Amino acid sequence: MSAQGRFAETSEEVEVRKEDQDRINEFGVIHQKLADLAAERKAIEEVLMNIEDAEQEVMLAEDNDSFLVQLGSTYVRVGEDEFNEFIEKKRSELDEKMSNIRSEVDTLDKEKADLKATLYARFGSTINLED
Amino acid sequence: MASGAAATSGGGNAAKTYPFGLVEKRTERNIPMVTFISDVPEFMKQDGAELKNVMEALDGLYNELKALESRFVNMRQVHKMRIPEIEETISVVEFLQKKAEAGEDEPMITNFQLSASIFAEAKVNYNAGKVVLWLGASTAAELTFEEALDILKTNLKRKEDQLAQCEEDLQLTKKQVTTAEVCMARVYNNDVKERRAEAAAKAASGKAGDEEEE
Repeated sequence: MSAQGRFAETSEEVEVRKEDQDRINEFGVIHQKLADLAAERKAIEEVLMNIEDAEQEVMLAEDNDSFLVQLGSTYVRVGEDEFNEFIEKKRSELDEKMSNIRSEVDTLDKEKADLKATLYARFGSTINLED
Repeated sequence: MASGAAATSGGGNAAKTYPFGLVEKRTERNIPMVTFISDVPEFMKQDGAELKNVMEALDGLYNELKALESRFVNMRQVHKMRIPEIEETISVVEFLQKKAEAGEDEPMITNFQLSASIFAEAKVNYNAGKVVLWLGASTAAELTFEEALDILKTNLKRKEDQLAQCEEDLQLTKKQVTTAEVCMARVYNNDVKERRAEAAAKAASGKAGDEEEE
């Protein structure tokens, strides 16, 4: 799980300065954060898919005019309109979370690439930054 | 449902100390801040700073940091699970509140869990405008929707703050782990370099039979 720069054992003489150490640390943190965000994103995508499935099922179930929706640890009987309202609310919440994650990932990706370029420029092949 | 105040004590053990000034200080929550060694050869000139001793100390520090890291990861998990629970509770209260405000008079029909895999149907009268909220410590209180939402949102906010704090500590710890790792590599590399230099010096001074170690 360690995503840090490791120095090859036969490291050529490139001095590690405090600022280099800080960059390496930052790189490790960003790497971890990106992994966390990817997991979060996947979880949200799953819920969104479930929502879509539910919507389709409801559309197909023409004979039914009420459905049980899980709310907290109970199920609530709702009519079709209420159901749609419920779904829309959920969806817009998730969409918002998703777009927040996306923009965070974009920023972090950029920062990570910058750090990588800087560190490789200084240490060349004596440092190994995991992807 | 315990409020789950973040345990910050560090398990009750006194803060470990490390030789050679490896730890410059500790944070409020007892995270050891690893000293950045700017000059390794100079660092190794300290009293008793032989490779074995320094590596041992670094190893101990590294292990403490790794343990701390996994504790923060677990704590974060706990917070992360609690937040959706509160959010769900809020959405239930809001659901009732909305129905009451819309002036609907049909009771809400709900299936609630009696025990594992048994559900019963209940009619919930939301027009009284009240819910009973579990407060913890074996206490529940009947509150208006507004009061209940108020409490729940305060709880949510607190949990989110705790999560953010935990996240911050985790990152700080991670940085210390990285610093310690890099430090180990540099101390080790420095040693290799010094041995090589010694061997080269010996070879140069005519003692050709000497073999180079490692």
